[in-house]
Amino acid sequence: MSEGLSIGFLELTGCSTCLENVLLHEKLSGILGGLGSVKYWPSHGYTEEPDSLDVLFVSGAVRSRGQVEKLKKLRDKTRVLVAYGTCSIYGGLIGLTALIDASSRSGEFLETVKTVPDIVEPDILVTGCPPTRDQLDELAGVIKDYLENGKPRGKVFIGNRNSLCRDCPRKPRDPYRFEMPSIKRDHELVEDDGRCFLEQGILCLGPVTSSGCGHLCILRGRPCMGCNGPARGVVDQGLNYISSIGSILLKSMERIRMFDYFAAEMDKLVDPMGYLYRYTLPKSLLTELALKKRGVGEK
Amino acid sequence: MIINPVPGIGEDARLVIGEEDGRVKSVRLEAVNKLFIEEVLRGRALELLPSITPVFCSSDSWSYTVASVMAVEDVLGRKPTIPALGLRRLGLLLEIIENHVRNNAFKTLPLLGVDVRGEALRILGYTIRIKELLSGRSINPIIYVPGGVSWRPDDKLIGEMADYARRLLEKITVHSKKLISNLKNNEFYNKLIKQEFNPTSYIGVIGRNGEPGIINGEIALLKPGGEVVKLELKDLLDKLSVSSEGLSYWVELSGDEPVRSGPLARLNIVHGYPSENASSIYEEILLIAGGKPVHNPFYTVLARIAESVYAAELVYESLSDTDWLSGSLVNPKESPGKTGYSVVDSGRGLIIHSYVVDGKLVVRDLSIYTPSHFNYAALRRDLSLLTGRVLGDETVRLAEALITLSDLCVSELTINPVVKGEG
Repeated sequence: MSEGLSIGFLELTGCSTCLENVLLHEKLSGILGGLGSVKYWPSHGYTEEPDSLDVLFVSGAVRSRGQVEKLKKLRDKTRVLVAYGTCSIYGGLIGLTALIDASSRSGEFLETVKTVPDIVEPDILVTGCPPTRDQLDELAGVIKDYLENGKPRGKVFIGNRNSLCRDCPRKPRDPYRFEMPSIKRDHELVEDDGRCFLEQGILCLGPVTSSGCGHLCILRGRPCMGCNGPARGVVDQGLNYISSIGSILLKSMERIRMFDYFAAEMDKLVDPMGYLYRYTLPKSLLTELALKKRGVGEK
Repeated sequence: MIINPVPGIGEDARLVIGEEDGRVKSVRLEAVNKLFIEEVLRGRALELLPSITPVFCSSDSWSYTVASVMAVEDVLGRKPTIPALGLRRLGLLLEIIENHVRNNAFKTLPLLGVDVRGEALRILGYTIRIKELLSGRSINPIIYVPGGVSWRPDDKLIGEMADYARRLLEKITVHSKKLISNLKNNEFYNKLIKQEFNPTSYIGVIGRNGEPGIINGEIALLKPGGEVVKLELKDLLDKLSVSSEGLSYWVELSGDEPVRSGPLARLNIVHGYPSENASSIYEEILLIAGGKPVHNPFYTVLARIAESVYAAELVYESLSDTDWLSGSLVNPKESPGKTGYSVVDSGRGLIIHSYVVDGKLVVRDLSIYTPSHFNYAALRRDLSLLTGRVLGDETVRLAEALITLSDLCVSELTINPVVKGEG
């Protein structure tokens, strides 16, 4: 099946190192035909644009008009387009610059950060920074199916989109009396007792993040940063998160009455954009509102 | 003539070659894309920077993370634990191997007509697997925290990593020997390493015994005349001047020749690579070059080979005896200040972070110097040597090779290294 396949890699704005993992994943690389199938990967020496591609992996966010044109052109030539990595789907870390109007620096740049689905229709979306080995296993199966059965059958999201909390290995002491005692900053976690991070006061984005990553950070003693993108049903990672922790910070009514507890705790969140929108700012309601206010029009 | 995409960089830059009567009149590399992310680092909570700055270049993401964690530690006044130092070093060694193998195989060697991409992928398969076992993911590591590490691998995982490390070392040793022999017989490469290049200065971190220091050592500056100066980080920062053109920024040392950092710089600065296989490659390089300092950037290919073998030997050694992994993971003692500094000599060169925070530990000013900032001035001068040559395939290939040798990353190059607060 992989014989004669042509595959390409398009790196937009971002670090794009995650793309290398595609060819380093045995199953996926085998299905694609390995290095021998690569026909386009400008940063790796495959600079000539081919007439057609069976599979194109696109990483990074869209920042320039040239990238918009390139993406559209390659979409037309490609059977299966994979939006690869969180940057390509939600903006990722580059998305933190969504509120910088780069077009004022040079006409080549866009007014904000766009994502691949803003510009073209991908067939497959793989989140992650980078996508994990398990996600690539699943991706391999989906691509195999596409290549064998011809025309893609609609958009496919790779990975479980339930919230990380649903099957988190860290359990609260008592799920019926689940309380976040206060808000601590990330570096203030020095004696991790293995309980749910929220119960320890640490801002873990598990409630609003999809669990396709397999809890990699949580299993290594780190709270979720949200890099795998929003869980199913989450419209805006930051706002949904504030709503989530609101319900557990507000547990003790006495505290609210006595100390304006919730407001005082939220003041400890000195950098909401960095903590809550580190990977998804371009797709947030916040950006939508800011752009409308600036008259940029549709996000 | 405009070349876009540029090998080793992609579509984020273009190579512009001016022509007059069939000869090269000017050569320059222009960045055409930019992240803008340095502009949003001001105002971020200090502790978030280690997870954000790796986006500058994820082929250096472990180095950026560690550099940022070290600068945060310096602000907080925390000292890292022994397991933390060991796990940081391990991650950075793996990244050095990847950088060198990737650059040689995918960027520079194809321009010299040497194809070892398949071999390189097999080597990268081992490094990436060890990194995944260590940090869950191969880029943007998550276990490094101020004062320590969040987690340590158990004996079973260490055994698995050691097994991959053994296979990595075997593979890379064989690969390197074959590659050196291949290059010795490569007519084009032999012609290139005999060319004259202007002397530059070299900068890097050197360990106590003259070995590559990575995160543990002194900053050494080798001047073109052979004089070696040791510098404190703050003194170095005082001497750096920033220039810009178009979207690109670069740094120079006041009153000095362009200064290179990275593998060629370390080849010139270190007293050797003190491990079995790497030291013999080092001796072989010196034999070919006829001594040090080596100013011809094409020796970078050989320096990468020696360093990648050295790093693989150290990775295997540190995973074979893991006594250093016992003890506390995090040292919570702190006495926060207002500034923090760090330097990491990554595979690609020096990464320097300097942060200034306010009373709420929010970053107000910062400076981030990257390998591309250091190496761009030398590259500009190397490219200018092409002026007057007949504009043909060989000249274009030479220009492209000089770019891939300096391992420029446009994301890094277009960072404004100094972001100051208002007022």
